[in-house]
Order: sequence, then C-alpha cells, then structure tokens
Amino acid sequence: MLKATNAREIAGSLRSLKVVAAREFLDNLLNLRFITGLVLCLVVTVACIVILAHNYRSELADYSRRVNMQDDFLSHYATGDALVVTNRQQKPPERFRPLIVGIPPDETLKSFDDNPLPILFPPLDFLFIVTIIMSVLALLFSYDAVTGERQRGTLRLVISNSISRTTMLLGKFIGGTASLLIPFILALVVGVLYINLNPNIQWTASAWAELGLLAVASITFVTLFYLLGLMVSTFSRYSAVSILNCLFVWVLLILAIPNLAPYISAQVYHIPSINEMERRFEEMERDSLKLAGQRNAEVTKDFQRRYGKLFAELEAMGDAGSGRQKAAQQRAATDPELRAMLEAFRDAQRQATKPIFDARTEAEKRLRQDLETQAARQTRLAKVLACLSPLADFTYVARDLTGTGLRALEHFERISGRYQREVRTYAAMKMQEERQKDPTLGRDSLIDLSNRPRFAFAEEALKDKLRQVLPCWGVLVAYNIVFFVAAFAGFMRYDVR
Amino acid sequence: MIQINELTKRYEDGVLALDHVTYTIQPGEIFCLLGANGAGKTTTVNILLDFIRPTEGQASINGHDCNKFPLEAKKYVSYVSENVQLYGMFTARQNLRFFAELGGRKDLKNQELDNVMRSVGLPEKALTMRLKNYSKGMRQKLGIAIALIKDPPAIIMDEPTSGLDPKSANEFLDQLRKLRERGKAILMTTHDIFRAKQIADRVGIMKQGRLVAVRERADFRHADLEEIYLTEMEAAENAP
Repeated sequence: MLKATNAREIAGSLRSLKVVAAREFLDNLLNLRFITGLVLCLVVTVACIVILAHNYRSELADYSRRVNMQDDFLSHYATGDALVVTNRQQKPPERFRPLIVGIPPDETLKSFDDNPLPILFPPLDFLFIVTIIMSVLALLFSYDAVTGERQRGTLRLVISNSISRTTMLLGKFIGGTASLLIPFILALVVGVLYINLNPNIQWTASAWAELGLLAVASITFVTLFYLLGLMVSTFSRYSAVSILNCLFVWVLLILAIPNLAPYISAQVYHIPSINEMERRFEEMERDSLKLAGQRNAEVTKDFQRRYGKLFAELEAMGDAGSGRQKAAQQRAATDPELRAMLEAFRDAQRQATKPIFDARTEAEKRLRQDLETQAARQTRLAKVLACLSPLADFTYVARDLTGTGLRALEHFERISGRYQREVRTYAAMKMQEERQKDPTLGRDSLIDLSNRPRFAFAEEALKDKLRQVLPCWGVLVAYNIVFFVAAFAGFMRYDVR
Repeated sequence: MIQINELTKRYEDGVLALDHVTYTIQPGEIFCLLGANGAGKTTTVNILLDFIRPTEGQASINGHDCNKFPLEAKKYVSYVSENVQLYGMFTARQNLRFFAELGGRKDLKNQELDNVMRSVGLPEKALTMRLKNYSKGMRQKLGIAIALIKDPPAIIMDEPTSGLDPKSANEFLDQLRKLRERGKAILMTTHDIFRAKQIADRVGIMKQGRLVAVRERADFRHADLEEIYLTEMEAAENAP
C-alpha cells in the first residue's frame, strides 16, 4: 500500500517535473534572449571557425612545405653533421586549430613588429565563445528564473499547486539549460561540419572522441553558470539586484581570480629579477677573485721565502703569478730545478684557489636551484589559485584535451628530445659504418641518409589526456553541485509573496 | 472543507497579523472575508497555500494540514489572486494547459480547454491570443478557468474583483454562483462590501488580525452590510 502510494507520488513528481521543464523551455524559446543567443552563437562560432580553418589550412601547407624543404636539403647536402644540425623535427599544427587557437611556440617580438594586430586582437575561438559568450548567456537565461516569476506574480500561482519546490527548481534547471544549450550545440555542429567538409582536414576517431569530451566539458561549464544565476536568483527579491550580483560573481570568477592568481603567487614566493640574479653572480665572482688573488699572493710570498733567488729569477721573466710566460717555459725546458719549482708553484696556486672557485660554483648552483624551486612553487601556487576560477579549469580541460595547451608543448618537446637522440645515434653509427668502407671520408663528405629516422608526431593518448584533465573537470562538477545545493537551499526558504 | 482553527501568525518584526482565528467553510458555501488593509485576510490565504507558516494553530483543506502536508492539501484547492498573472508569451490555451497539467489533468484536448474558457465568458478570439495582449478582466476570467479546470473541492480567491469594471465584476460573480452550485467551498477575501453582500453565504469581518464577527446571509440579506461592518469595527475598537 505504502509502496503504491510512493510510486504514485514519484510518478506525479516526474509528471510535474516534465510539465515545468517543458514550460520553462518553451518560455525561453519564445523569449528575445533565445533569438539573440542563437544568432550570436551561430554568427560568432561560424565566423571564427571559418577564419581559424583558413589559418589552419595555411599552417598545414606551411608545415608540409617545411618538411619537404628539409627532406630536399638533406638529399642534396646529406652529411652526418648536416643531419644532426638541420634535421629539426617539425610540429604539425594541432588538429583542433580550427576550433581553438593554440599557444604559438615561435611567437617573437619580430612577429609583433611585422603585424601587431593579430596579437593585439587575437582571433576569437571556441574557448572565448564558451567562457565569455556562453557564460554571460547562461546568466542572462537564469538570473531572473525565480525573481522574475515572483515579480510577475506567476510564482504564487504555480506554487499554489501540488508541486514541490525541489521539482520546480529541477524543472527550471532542466528546461532552462536545454533552451540555453540549443544555440550552442547548433553552432558547434555547424562549425564542426564546416571543418570536416574540408578535404584537407580529416579527423580520426580519437579526434571525434576528444570533440565529444570537449562538448561535454563545455556543457559542464555552461550549466555551472546557469546554476550560478539560478542560485543568485533564489537569494534575491528583485531581478535587477540578481543581475548585478550575477555580474559581480562573473567578474570575480572569470576576470579577477585568473588574473590575480599569478600576482598573489608572486607575492608569496618571491623570485629575484634577472638583473638581481646577475648582480649576485657578479658579486660572487668579484669576491671569489679577490680571495683567490689574496691566496695567490700568500703562495707567492711562501715561494719567495722558500726558493729566494731562483723564484726571483722567475719573477724577473714576467708576471710570475700567471706562470704562463714564454721565457719561463723555455727556461724550464732546459732547467730541471726551475721546472720543478714552476710546477710546484702552479700546484700550490691551484690548491690554494680551487676551494674558492669550487665554493663559488657550488653557491651559484645552489642559487640557480633555489630559483628553479621557487619558480616551480610559484607556478604551482598560481595554478592552484587560478583553478578556483571555472575559466581556468575549463581552459586547462579544453586545451589539454585537444592538445592545444602547455601540456601538448611539453609532449612535443619530450618526443622531440627522443627523436634528436635517435638522430644523433644514427648519424654517429652511419659515419662509423661509412668510414669503415672509406677511411678517407671527412665530416663534410656526402653519405647516403635515405634510411635516416623520420620524425612522426603522435598525439598523446586520449586516456592520458583524460587522466590529466580530470582534477580540473572535477572542480567544474563540484561548482555545479555547490551552486545547485545552494540554489536548492535558497529556494526552499524563498518567500514567494 | 476549509478549516481554520486558532490560527495565529506573528511576523519576525513582532507584528501580530493573525490572532487565534477560527472558522470553517462548508462545501457549496461562499465565505467572504471583509476587512481593511492589514486586517489579516491575505495572511490567512498565504497560510492556507503554505506560502508562510503559522505561529500557532492549524489550517486544513479537505482534512489535510496545509503546513504539515502542503502538497496533499494543495491537491484540493485552486487559487485565484487579486491580479492573475500568467505567462505573457504563451497563448491562453497554452497557459491553461500548463496549469491543468500542473493540477494533475493530463491529455486534455484543445476542445476541452476551449470549452472551459468559453464557460467563463472569454470571447472566441481570446482563446488563442497571447496573454500579454489580455486585459485585467480577461486575465481574471482565465484565472477562474484555471481554477475550474483543476476542478478541486475548494477555491481560494484573494480580492479577485479588485480593479474589475462593473460588467466584468458581475460576470465574475455569476461564475462564482455556478461554482457554488457545483458544491465548491469558496473563500473570498475582499474590500468590496457591495459585492460581498451580492454573493456571500457568510461574511467574516476582520480587524487587526482578529475575526471580530461572522454574519450569516440572513443577517445581511435585507440589511445594510456596510453599516453592520462599521458597527462591528467600532465595537472591536472599543472592546477591552
């Protein structure tokens, strides 16, 4: 009996949930903000994908050209040295470049001077669309979800029915999010279709899987901001107050935290500037040279005392302190006594100054290590602080998933290093092999390098990428949960009057 | 059907909005609550619909405590507010369907929805009009239609005739009479003594949170209800 009642209640709640979600969805669809969102998403997404896809095609052509030029060069000037020096591994443009602008590895001041506009106003990409446009749209869809209904007077009428507040809040979330995601998904589908209609661009199964994960991560990010608006709405009486509070939190999460994180981190872990480091190294050098000079003077005095006339002769030939004079060397070649004294003098000088220079080298090494440790700590703290911002979390997730971030550069450097070692080993073996055939072979002689190792760039495995992005993704999910629970708590005690 | 027993509400700022109010409304009865602003009429409605919690006492609908089991109690009641506000971008039919489904009526055909709207006097062209183009009178009628389509045994109306023109108000009262004939227990709060006299089976007079008098229809059918109201108010004023 009790079970039947519970089942009836659950069925009733689900029916109410469906009704509220459908109403919220339809209401949003009929609203001007939906049309605005749809147009904005479609126009911006398609425009940015068209531009980035064009850039990607140019980069792809440039990459092929560079690889061919390198091959061409090595087939004409195929020496062992040339292989090691000129056989640089080329990084192909990331396959997600039509969606996400990667980190330019070869950005220099020169490129800034040549054409500053792309750096001053970088092209929009998928990251910008999700983190800025979609987050603002999400807030615009939800900031008045509760306050608006209260002010219009519909909330009382709805709540006067047999519907729980939990069901109503869930229905609003489901309906509102669905209406918000339509423009986004539609724009993404159009953009991805455009990319894949290009014959030069072919995505593998793993790229599609990455795209799927990227879409899910984007939805996690967008729902987070929808829930933020919903939460703020349940704690506000008026929509005007709600939108102001939403914008305040948005600025905090999107602009303030990621920008303040490196600054705070730099205050906690101070790293000396390059000038300061150079000054410290110069001081160390000056001190060590001064001390070494004093020790040398002591050694000289000792030798003057011990060898008297013979050492005076040596000094008379020039600066005995250096012991490098030609005359002294010539004389030492014929005079065994002087040679023995000169060698002893050099040994004594070396022994006297070695601990000083060793200590300096050690101090310099320690200073560099401290600097590196401090820099690593600073970077780690900055990353942890920045990850309080959903923007930073999403950026890490999106970039690392699509291979357009710092991790992809590290991955490239890792496999490049491996390749370089392979090339060096190959070049040495090849030279040895060729010299066995022809002992007169010089370093500049042309040899057959047709079986040289070729660089083949392979993306990091998806499961490794996924493992890497899970913590940041977890933060996004945690934000969703926290905002929903807070919205729930706020709505439970919300005065609907 | 609607039972209010020793209902008391003291707000956080110390204001006593309801002071041990007790009455019952039977099926097929229209009970009008009269009183000035701040008398406690809307507070009663708010407690019945679980918008706020009482400090003491109990309110129930069809035997279900409105504050302990609000979802159960609200299955048996419809609410018509002073200013019925609905979803402006939806048509009347879409609004009605939404609230009907929320009230547990599913799979309703357009014809059924239209019939209910016609029965409350909405003109044919209004059935598919968007609510943002509705006048207040039309919205009130649609509010009644929403109450009707749920078909609950109790209806609560909070100053429903406020702001209606005389013709619309009369049409509204006709609807109330029909609802009474169908056995609905109706609680209506109002300032309008003239309309209360026309429609009420009983009137309750409230002053500063207290129910100072309850009069049967027989008491005011041939008398001046306004005079009764003023006399009771004065008596309450002078009471120790």
